Parts: sequence; C-alpha cells; structure tokens
Amino acid sequence: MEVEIPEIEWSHEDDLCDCTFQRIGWWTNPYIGKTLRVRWCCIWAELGRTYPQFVELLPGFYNYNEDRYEDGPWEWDSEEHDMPRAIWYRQIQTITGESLEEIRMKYRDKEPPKKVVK
Amino acid sequence: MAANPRTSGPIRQSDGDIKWYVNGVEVGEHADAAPYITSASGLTVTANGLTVTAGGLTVTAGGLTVTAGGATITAGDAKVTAGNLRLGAISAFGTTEPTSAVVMKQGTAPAGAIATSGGIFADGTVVKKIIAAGTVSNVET
Repeated sequence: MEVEIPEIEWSHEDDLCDCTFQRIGWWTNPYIGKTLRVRWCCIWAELGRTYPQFVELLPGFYNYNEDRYEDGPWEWDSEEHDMPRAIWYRQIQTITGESLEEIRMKYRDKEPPKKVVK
Repeated sequence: MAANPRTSGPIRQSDGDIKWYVNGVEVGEHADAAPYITSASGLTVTANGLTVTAGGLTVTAGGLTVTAGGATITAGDAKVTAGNLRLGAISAFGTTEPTSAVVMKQGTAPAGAIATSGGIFADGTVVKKIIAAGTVSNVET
C-alpha cells in the first residue's frame, strides 16, 4: 500500500508497537525510487494469534555461550550508550508483568538507565 | 665504546655478533639467534619497501600499524586465527567480548549500484546489506 513520505521512521527501538522483539523489514533502492517497510513483528504477532501452536515466547534469555536459559534480565551495562527506552520498557515488563501501556504511562517522564562509566 | 663517526657497515663484535653502523651510529645487529633491528628509533624503509621472501613476518609485540596506503593482499587469504575482524573504531564490543566474529561500527553506508558485489554494514540499530543494483535492506530473520 503506497503512502506519503512519513514523518516517523520505523526502527527496532521505536516502541511504536507492543511486540517484544521489534523487527522491521526495510528495503530501498535509489533507481526504483521507492522504499518498502514492513512491521514484521506485528504481522508475526497476528500470525501467532492465528497459529498459536507455532509461536512460543519463552520466559528467559537463552545464554548461547553457556547453553542455558537465565533467570531474570541483565542490568544495563553498556559503556557507550544509555539504555534504549523501548528495551527499558520491555525489561520492566519482564520484571513486573505490567502491560507496556501501563509502563509507558508510568515511566514516560523518567530516564532509562544511563551508560556505565568504568 | 662508541664507533668512529666514519664507521659505516657491518662490524663484527667481540662476542661474534655483527652490528651495522651508519656514520658511527648503530642501526642494527645480527645476533646468534636471528637478525633483528635494535635501533631505538625503529626501522624505517624509505624506498623499495620491505620484501619478505621466506619465513613470513611475525610481530611479537606492539602490533602492526598502517598509517598510510592501506594493506593489500594480492595472493592468499587474510586469516584472523584468533580474535575478531573489527571494522571501525571498536574497542569493547559487548558485555561478553566475542571471538571469531565480524563486528562493525556504524559508518558511511554505501549507496548506488554495485556490480557483482554485495556488502554488509551497520547503522545505529540494525545490520543492513546492499546487493547488486543498489537495493539496501535490513538483515532480518
């Protein structure tokens, strides 16, 4: 569906949806003069509601270096960047079980964890 | 004892080693084990480059820094047998530092047609790819 040039770019941390893992398909070509963007995460969420037997959201980070699921999310420890708000909200959701809608309301005036200075 | 300022060339030492001098200044030494440069100011090749015809080039300390001209391999592979291939100014990459990974910093993205080629690059949040005829897309599962 062709639309006007948007004001907001879709990105993996745009928090424009409630998907746990935001995934944006994006293609562009200067010679075609078009850009296609697809919120795959939202489409997959719809597919998951249609085919729930094929989609599982597991309650743990799979540590692929240690071949095990971990309890609880990590604390933000980047030395380069503050925690992206979209990731922060989803971390809070993991901890508290609240909906993202509630979390956005509660934390919209608060700042995500800052980068770590060592 | 300092060499005579007019001394240039190899001088055998009392211990059997050979030292090279240029106008009385020591510029190198060949010891029993292997030839090496001991000059405090290092080795500078001002013309014709450095050619290694056998044995390869081994850097045991200090690393290898190329400040101009880049590095070109005209035959054989570039092999990183330990560590990673880091593109861009990357010091620490993650909470768990990788090994055997290709990691890249956001830089200037390619644009336009590329013939019989492809590329992978990072932007602020995703890894992107570019294919022939210039289509750029996110690398996504």
